[in-house]
Amino acid sequence: MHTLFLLAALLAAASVSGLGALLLRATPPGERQSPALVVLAAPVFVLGLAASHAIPGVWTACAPLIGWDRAGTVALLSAQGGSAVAALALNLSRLVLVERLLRACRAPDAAVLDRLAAVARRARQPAPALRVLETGGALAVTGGVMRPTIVVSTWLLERLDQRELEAVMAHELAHIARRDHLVRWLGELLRDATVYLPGGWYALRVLRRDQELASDVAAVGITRRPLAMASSLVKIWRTSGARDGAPLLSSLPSHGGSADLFEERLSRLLAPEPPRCSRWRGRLLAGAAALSVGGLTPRVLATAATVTPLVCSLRPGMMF
Amino acid sequence: MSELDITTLYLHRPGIRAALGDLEAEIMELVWQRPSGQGITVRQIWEELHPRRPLMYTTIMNTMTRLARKGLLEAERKEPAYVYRAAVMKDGFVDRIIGEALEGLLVNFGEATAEQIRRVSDPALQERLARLLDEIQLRRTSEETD
Repeated sequence: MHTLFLLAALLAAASVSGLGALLLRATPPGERQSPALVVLAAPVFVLGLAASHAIPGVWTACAPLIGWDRAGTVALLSAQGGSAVAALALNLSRLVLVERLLRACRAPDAAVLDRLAAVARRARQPAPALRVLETGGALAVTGGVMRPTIVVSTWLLERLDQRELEAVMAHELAHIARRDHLVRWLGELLRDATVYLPGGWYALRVLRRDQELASDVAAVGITRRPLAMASSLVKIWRTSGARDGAPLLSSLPSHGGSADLFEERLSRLLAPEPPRCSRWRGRLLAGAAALSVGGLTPRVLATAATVTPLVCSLRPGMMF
Repeated sequence: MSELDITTLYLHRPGIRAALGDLEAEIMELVWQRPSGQGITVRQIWEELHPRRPLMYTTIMNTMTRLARKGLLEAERKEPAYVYRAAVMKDGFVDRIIGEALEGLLVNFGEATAEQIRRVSDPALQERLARLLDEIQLRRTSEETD
């Protein structure tokens, strides 16, 4: 019966994830970062709460785990716990590798640093560290846990004009101000922990897209030059093609992406009105979604526990 | 297959002449026209070429010796003369020319070569992006003067 309960929880997690993906589809682009995070976190919450019934004292009056029920429960909990542990290990190692990569890049010339400092002053934020990756590919990414760092490739420094380079720097500064690289890391961790739910893959894609769109808006606010940003994008697209980049770097916010993301960013930058995003509307939606999931999940699981019938019940304090 | 010696490419010249001299290319075309494995002597080549290229017999002989040294021909002594066969078929030779050229370019200019290959592989997109970039650059003049 415990096994049946865990399967019901898995179904609930998949439903929450799927419904969340539908909600994201209906939300205007540029406002979906917070809702996407909720959609990524919701199934983890549902599965975690359901799994907690195996911890003595969290739930009350549980039936003993015996026979096939014991085997099924152990198998399901091991699979879910295993994917969570693997996700954590994978994403921690990715973090370490990115830190190493950042350290391996060379320091930029003083002129490039001065330019970044000037853009940072206009953005009213401290200038982050800047490193240069010696490569002929078009690359601009932001990473670093303790100290945010922008990495640009030599290609960008050589092929972009001054205004385009400033636009790229402003875009990366916006990622730093929004802590996009940390949010994306968290998003990837949550997606990997529930790698078997398609809704999580969609939510992470939406999260990445909206981080880029929102950073474009912020960058245009800093430089007041949407066309310089657009021309830098076209140059990068022409050179790198539509791709997600190297697997390691694709986990970082970058000035590139898939073909349809290039298209969307360009159409917004070239529109007669400068692009806008409302962060508060997205946060409001995310708050409402989080409250709904947080409030409904214990009730749904308690009902599932009664229906299965699992001889367990949630302690009253666990109900929101 | 023996090691082919392709060190110089003349990209303005047509076909296999990018890697071979005129006479070398003509001789190889004649060798490749023969049924596979069937040999040909210097005299046979000289006789076939003579009506349109009245060259000395020894010129043909020296050129075929050079082609053997380059790894394109295999020579077998059959009295009273050497018999030559193709050491590599035409398709294989063309593959090697392209391979050598690409390898050299990728070693020296890796990313730039890959970029050019991408451009050639999706010319419609590249053309669209080039037009878009021109348009944006024109509009940028007004952005810079604002």
